[in-house]
Amino acid sequence: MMIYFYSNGEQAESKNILHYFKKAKIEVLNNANKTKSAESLVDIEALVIFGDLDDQASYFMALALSQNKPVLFLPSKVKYNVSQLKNWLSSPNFKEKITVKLWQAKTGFGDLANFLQTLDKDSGRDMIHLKYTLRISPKISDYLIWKSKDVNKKKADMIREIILQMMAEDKAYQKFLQEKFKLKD
Amino acid sequence: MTAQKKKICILLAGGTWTLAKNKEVLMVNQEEDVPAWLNTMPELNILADTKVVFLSGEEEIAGPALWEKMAKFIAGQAKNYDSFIIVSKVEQLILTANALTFLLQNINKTIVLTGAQMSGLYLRDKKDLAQSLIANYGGFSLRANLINALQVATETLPRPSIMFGSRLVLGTKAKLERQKNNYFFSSLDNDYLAKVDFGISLKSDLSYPKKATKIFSKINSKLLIVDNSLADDWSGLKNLAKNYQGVLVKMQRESLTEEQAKIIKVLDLPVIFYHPVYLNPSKLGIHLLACSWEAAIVKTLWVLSNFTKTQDVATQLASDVAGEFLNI
Repeated sequence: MMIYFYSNGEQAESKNILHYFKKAKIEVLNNANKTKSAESLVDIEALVIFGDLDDQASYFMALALSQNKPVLFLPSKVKYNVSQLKNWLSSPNFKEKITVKLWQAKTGFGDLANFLQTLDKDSGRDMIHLKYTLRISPKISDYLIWKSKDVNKKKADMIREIILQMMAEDKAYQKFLQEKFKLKD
Repeated sequence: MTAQKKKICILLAGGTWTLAKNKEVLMVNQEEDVPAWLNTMPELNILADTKVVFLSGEEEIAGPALWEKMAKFIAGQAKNYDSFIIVSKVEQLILTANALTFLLQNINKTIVLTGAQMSGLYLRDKKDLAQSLIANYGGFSLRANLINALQVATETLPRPSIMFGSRLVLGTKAKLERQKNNYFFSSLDNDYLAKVDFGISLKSDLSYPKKATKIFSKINSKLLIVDNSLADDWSGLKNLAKNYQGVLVKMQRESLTEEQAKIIKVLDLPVIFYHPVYLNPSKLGIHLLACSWEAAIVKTLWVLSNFTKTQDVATQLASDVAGEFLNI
């Protein structure tokens, strides 16, 4: 999972958030680090804004929303213009895509975890687009050919279904998914 | 929010193709189409306080009459807005940008032009291209172009500029190119005002020109455009030219043939020879050099509309009136 983290908030907290992403094994591009491994916002899955909604943050937010990407906005000030944010949130165009949570050291990481959890369950992650090279023995190949004819399914579909079933039945993995973003210090 | 949001007026004049949520193609061909079209881009108001004004539909060709209308609107509304964005047909953006450059000289307002990858009214004729753009790019790029245009419209840009794809280029320097069904604009002297990757990197120290503002209302002159290639038949030129105010000759070959020179000699109207780099000395007409072909057309239209004496025409064409001269 790759996200773009835009921060103009307090540096120490920004570092803590980046540290959290690193521990959660989230690939992060951010405005402080100019190293880019993606071509543009098209390549990222979500946008997280910490601090203030300045011109640059507004630009990223508009761009992300135009591409139907989820946005988590973590304002770091209570005095924020809440009425405008409420207007956006109540707009049918945005309410499903923007999440706003006032950043507080005690609850902030929980909010981040919930957001990432939602992303993890997003239907976009069910899209089949990653290539995987699998070397198999002639015996396994014979079986796959025979079985695919027997059940009238493509070999790739059959393998995908087996893995999905394994995932669903693997209680330890399901527990891991529930807790993967709820990191302990 | 931080500072007060800027007031930006978005003028629609074609080039408005976008996709609705149900994947239906939407475009603005009349004023009534605006609300539904605008609903597909709710994010525009995050960046600025925007007002959308309908100028012309997808059917209309962006020519001198529309340019005059645009310039009149912008000059009249300049005090009410911080900047203006023109959405128009991609194929006509350069001419339109040049027209606004000459009509609204040194207006000290940021003017940005943009549009969709496709334009026109009839989807049926362009179905394959439209499907290819939807499959490969998720649509016609208008939403991203408009967001980028809004972002740069909050900055100070010296003259009307085109924001399209990942580049912002002055209209006088722009060149339209196409690759894999995709239009993009390059700069004739490789000088860009901004590039987009993660965020927009704007060139530093951009400012409005220090010259006095000059607003013109006319650009709709009758200009006959020919070239001196052997393929262009000049036999009827003498009679045809009677209906025009001037002739603009694009010099494809180094010099005129004897026959072409004879025809030019008897024309009783200004004849302008254009080449981007060099012209042989000649007394047959006025020379126009060192600008793009689109700037040459628009500048000649503007000069012929606003100056009648041949000497004035020559002086204006030899001057860098609106930053149109290229250093190439």
